[in-house]
Amino acid sequence: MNAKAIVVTSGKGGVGKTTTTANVGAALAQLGEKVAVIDTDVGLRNLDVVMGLEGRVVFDIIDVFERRCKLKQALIRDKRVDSLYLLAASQTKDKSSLSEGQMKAVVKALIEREGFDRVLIDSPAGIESGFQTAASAAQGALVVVNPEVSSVRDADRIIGLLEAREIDEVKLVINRIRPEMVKRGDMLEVEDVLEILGVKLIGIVPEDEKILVSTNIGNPASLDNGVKAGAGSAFRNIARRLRGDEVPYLSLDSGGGFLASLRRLFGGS
Amino acid sequence: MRARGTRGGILLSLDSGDTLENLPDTLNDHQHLLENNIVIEIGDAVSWPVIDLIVQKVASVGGTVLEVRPPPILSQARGETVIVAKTIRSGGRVESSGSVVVLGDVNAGAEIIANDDVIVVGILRGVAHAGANGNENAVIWARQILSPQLRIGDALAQASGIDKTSGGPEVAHLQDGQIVLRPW
Repeated sequence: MNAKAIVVTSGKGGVGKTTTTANVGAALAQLGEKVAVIDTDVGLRNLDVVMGLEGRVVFDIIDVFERRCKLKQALIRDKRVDSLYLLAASQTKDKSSLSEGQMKAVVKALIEREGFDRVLIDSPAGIESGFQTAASAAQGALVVVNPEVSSVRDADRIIGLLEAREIDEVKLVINRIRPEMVKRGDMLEVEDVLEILGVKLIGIVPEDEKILVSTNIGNPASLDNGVKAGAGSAFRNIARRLRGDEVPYLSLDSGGGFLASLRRLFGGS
Repeated sequence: MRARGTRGGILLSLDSGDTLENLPDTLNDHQHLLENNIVIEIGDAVSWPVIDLIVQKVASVGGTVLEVRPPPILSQARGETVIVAKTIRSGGRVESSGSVVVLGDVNAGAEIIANDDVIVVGILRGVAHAGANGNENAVIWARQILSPQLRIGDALAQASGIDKTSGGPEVAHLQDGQIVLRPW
């Protein structure tokens, strides 16, 4: 993606925006980019917890907006990857404290003055002012969707709103897919989701218990390079595709082995 | 002249072929029809003496002329067709006083409302309402119809009540007040 400022959004809550922001942000930083992740969910902040930086938040984005601190002071450097920074949301304010003008100014300053290669903006759920502010500063978007009807419908609505904002680089992250359920036909297939939404895919992330653990202990799973499967590795692949690398997509085959893959190769099911 | 029975009486449709020469015979032949409440519809140019003749004849046999009016089809102005050259996503709404043509899909959660036809070149998953002002000849056409609900005129059909067709192009229209879906 050419966009430097990318909003991570979904419409529906609980589909994995914050997890995606933290993991893709961490993976991008590990690939050598200088990355800022911004939490815009003012009043319901989570990104600091997921990244394990909760204890180090002193100033937040509202402090920057209201000039109680300098932008640099509010940027929290990650302990594990030193090119990864967090700009936290305020927990004690609400979304009326955010303004599009200030948001744009902060993102511009991060890229032009502080030399960030990439700014990931974690949007709150919904289509109201919180989302609008988060999207206002972005040139690209990662839309996170779960393979279920209500999530796809909300993503569709969000993509329409992003198009209305002329954010043209919109990529889809299909999160929490369960291969065995897809196989049984109990879950929407990747092709169904792509057909309905009509935007380009950038990653398929499997449902993974390890994500829950890594979220709780505040250590993004994508940082664990030793693990070659599961959600962590899927998020790493998203980061690589985002940088323009060709990475093959995750095989959803959870069983069946070689013969089943051969059959699929020749068009069987 | 054509005569048609309606709920309120008799509807006489006149056009420029009705003249003072040929009309008296016709009226005399069907005198019993004129002993009613009469509505006169004028298709094109009809001279005033012709109308006057009918009014006098109706009065002489004990009927009443209630109204002289243009036919309903001409009185309805055709609205403009709205063409949308993209997919309509959830939350999108397109309205037209004429027809709506969508060069893309209509996704679930979107609404298309037209006084005439709704034509969707892609897949229709949202709600479509054709003939929204009561035009019962309006149709809904799409490459595939997967909507939970279709409306034509005052009629409404839910997905479970519509017989599914092959998955190819389909058209929905009104038949005896019911919405029917058939392959196109």
